[in-house]
Amino acid sequence: MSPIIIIIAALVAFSFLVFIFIFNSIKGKRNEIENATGGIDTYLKQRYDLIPNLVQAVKKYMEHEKSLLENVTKLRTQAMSANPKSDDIAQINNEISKMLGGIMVSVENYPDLKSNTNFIDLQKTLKEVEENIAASRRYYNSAVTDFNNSLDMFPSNIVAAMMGMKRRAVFEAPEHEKKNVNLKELF
Amino acid sequence: VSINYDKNFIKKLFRTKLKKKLAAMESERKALKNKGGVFALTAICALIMAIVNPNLFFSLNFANLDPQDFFVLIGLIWVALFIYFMVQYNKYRKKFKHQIIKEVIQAVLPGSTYTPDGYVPRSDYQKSSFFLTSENRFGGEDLITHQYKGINYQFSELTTKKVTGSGKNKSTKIIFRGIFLTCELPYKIKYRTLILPDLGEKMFGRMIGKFFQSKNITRDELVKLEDVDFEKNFVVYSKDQIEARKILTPRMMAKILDYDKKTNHTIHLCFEPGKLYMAIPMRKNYFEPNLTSGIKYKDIRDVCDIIHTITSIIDVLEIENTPEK
Repeated sequence: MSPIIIIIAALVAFSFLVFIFIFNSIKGKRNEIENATGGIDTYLKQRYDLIPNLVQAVKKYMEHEKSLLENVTKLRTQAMSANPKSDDIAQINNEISKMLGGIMVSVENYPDLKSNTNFIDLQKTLKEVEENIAASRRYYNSAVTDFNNSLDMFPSNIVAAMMGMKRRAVFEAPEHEKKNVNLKELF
Repeated sequence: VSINYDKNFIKKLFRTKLKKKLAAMESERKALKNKGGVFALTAICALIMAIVNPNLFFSLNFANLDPQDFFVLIGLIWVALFIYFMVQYNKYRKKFKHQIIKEVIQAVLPGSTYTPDGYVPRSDYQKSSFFLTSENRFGGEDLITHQYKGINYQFSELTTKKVTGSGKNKSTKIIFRGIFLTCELPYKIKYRTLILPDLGEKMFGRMIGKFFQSKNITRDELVKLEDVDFEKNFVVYSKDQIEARKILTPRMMAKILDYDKKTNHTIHLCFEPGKLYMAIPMRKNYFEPNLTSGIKYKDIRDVCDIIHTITSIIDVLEIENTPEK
């Protein structure tokens, strides 16, 4: 066998190995997005389950916020019946976050409710779930950024195009959450 | 129980309590300094003589003694005097630690206990998994145990080494030398989150560094965080991507980064279920007496600074504010 043929064969074998490596890496990154999405869904489900208990616990005290409680219940039903992959679901969940935040602010006006043990437990669980949602969304964004980078960078962009991969959108924090950043605490 | 870290408080402590004690120890320090100087000088002279003209040793004749016996005798006297000096020095050192360092620590950290010969348990050091090289020499000193904002913690100086071979082939590698903190953690966490200085990225750049870190089979999964500055300085490993991000919120990352910059040392952090570990490698030994120039206000200030730096991690990480406590 001539040396040229050996070199060409070696190059082809090397390119094939690189292709397999990039292919697997892109697949792995896509699976990581799925994993992160699963994490978000789990915690959102936990929050949906928590809403009826929360509404039940506060409605006796919060007579003036009746419409707020009704709206959050309505949104929960909408979120649970909506397609998890639809565009509306993110908007609905943002609305739920906003309303739950509103309920927690209103609680300040009801000292009896604030000292209710059942409510304190629910508040604690809700805070934990909200923290988990925030953390899993950050994980999702990190996984998406990683995936999108491999779609943009050479040579993985060639393999990704061959695989028909498309860019994913990162999760953007709702406007009301952006406004709540306390810069004083950061600096 | 609070931490008294105020410039005026430390100044007052030095003026009213420590200055007198240090003055009483001054004559002892000076005597030790002179003795130490003589030992160092004779050792250096002997070494120079041995290098320049080794035969000179054997040409001397003293009291009709065989030159070899004469130098063996001189050597033995020197060693005996040196041991005597070390005993004296250790006595002084012990006194210094009990009278000065203890006073400083108990003033800065009221209610604390100070054990000059104690150190954090080896099991804590090993659980932290900061360093992959396993140690076969483990030691330390200056153990401080305290409770702050309801959180129990302890820290000490540690030196860990790996000694291999014997005789001429013996080699000693220092794995860690510095301060090691172990603190109870009331967070409810399931897995370990490890925050280490990002050496990979500093050595090979962002892309290659991250690539190697993600393929590091000796650690848990690499956690890529969104804070660019934090990522430049640290590498994070955890089994649970979400839990790691729950601990390292954007605000917490900013605070840890700020803390790291203020300490001027590379910090290592480990969140374990129930425990927090922190290692700060440093060469300077802050709790030792200074024989050459004596202890000044600045030295006491340095001791207070290092104690404050270590203990402030509890404030930085807001350990006491966790609702799960």
